Amino acid sequence: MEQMLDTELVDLARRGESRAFDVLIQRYQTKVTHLVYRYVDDRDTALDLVQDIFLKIFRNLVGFKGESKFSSWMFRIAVNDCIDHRRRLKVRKEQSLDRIQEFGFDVVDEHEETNIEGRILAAETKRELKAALEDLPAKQKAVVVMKIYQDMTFDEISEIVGDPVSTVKSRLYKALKSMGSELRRKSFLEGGKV
Amino acid sequence: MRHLTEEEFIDLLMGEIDDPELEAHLRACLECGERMDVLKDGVVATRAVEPKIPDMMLPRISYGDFKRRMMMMRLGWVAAAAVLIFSFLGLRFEMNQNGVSLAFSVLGSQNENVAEARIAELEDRLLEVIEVNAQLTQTQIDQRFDAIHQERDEDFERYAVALGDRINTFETQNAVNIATVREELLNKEREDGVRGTLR
Repeated sequence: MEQMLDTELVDLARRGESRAFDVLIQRYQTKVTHLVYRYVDDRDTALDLVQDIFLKIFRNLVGFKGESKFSSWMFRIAVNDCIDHRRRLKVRKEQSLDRIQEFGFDVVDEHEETNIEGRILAAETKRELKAALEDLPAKQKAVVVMKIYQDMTFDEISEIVGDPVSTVKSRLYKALKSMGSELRRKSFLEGGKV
Repeated sequence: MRHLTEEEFIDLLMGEIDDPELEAHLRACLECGERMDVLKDGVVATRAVEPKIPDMMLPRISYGDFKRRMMMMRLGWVAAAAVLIFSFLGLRFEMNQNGVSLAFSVLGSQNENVAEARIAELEDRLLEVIEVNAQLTQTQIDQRFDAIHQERDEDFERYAVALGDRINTFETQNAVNIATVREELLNKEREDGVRGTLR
């Protein structure tokens, strides 16, 4: 069964063949986990989201009509889940920021602080670039993760997000422009190339 | 020549196309060259903050686990729906010192019916308590009366005997007295008769 195509496994899984679904999970769990981790940058969150994503896939498999590739459909669920998670997180962060500012404390992102390695860039610059990446619109960040980090093709990304390739490329252009501008601004302020 | 489009920038940057004419323009046009440099810096910046995948023990996910979880979720939903429907219809669980009970009322009048049922239940219990108390009181009164009557009967019998004795005593005494008086009268009459004869 491990040698079967996705479409064959999906057909079997839709008919209740548990082994077929398990093979699909084995085939994609690592890829989905890496994609999600690169989006959320937190191990526990990534593992929780991956559970949710596969549960959604399980629940919606009957409704999967095969109009796109199974992997594209699955990654679309994963990316949408990441975007939803980020939106929820953003709301919570804004709420907690309001509370912290209300009580007059400084805001320090402990998670970012502990993950800074500083091999390529100075710690401060890296932190600011991470913040810039986080500040990208959710769909732009999703394209960055899929193209720059996961090295997917534009056709794959287009199928996953359900938008034309030209739209995907435009999002990537805007995201890289923002990140490049941020890097240059930081370099200028520090008086040299980073 | 016109400047490059966003799509063309990305195609060149990502190596999607190999177009000597576009590359020539890029080298010749300061504006497009500068924009491309910003994009290249963007790639550097993005890769610099790429999250490194840590060692992760991937959790075991299987069809069976999900099926069980879905079953539990469905059961939860069914239970929640059942509670909602039953409570909407007026059925509710009540727990008190007597244990768990079910209350039921017709749709739309749950609160009133529950309150009325509660009042009726309390009234029934009150009547029951009064009746029990009344039965107890009556029994006790009857017992008291029985005791009194018994004591009275015993006393009456005892008094009757005593009275009879007393009456007998009186009658005996009276008979003695009468006999004594009669004898005295006879004696006196005899003495008077003797005296008259003598005169």
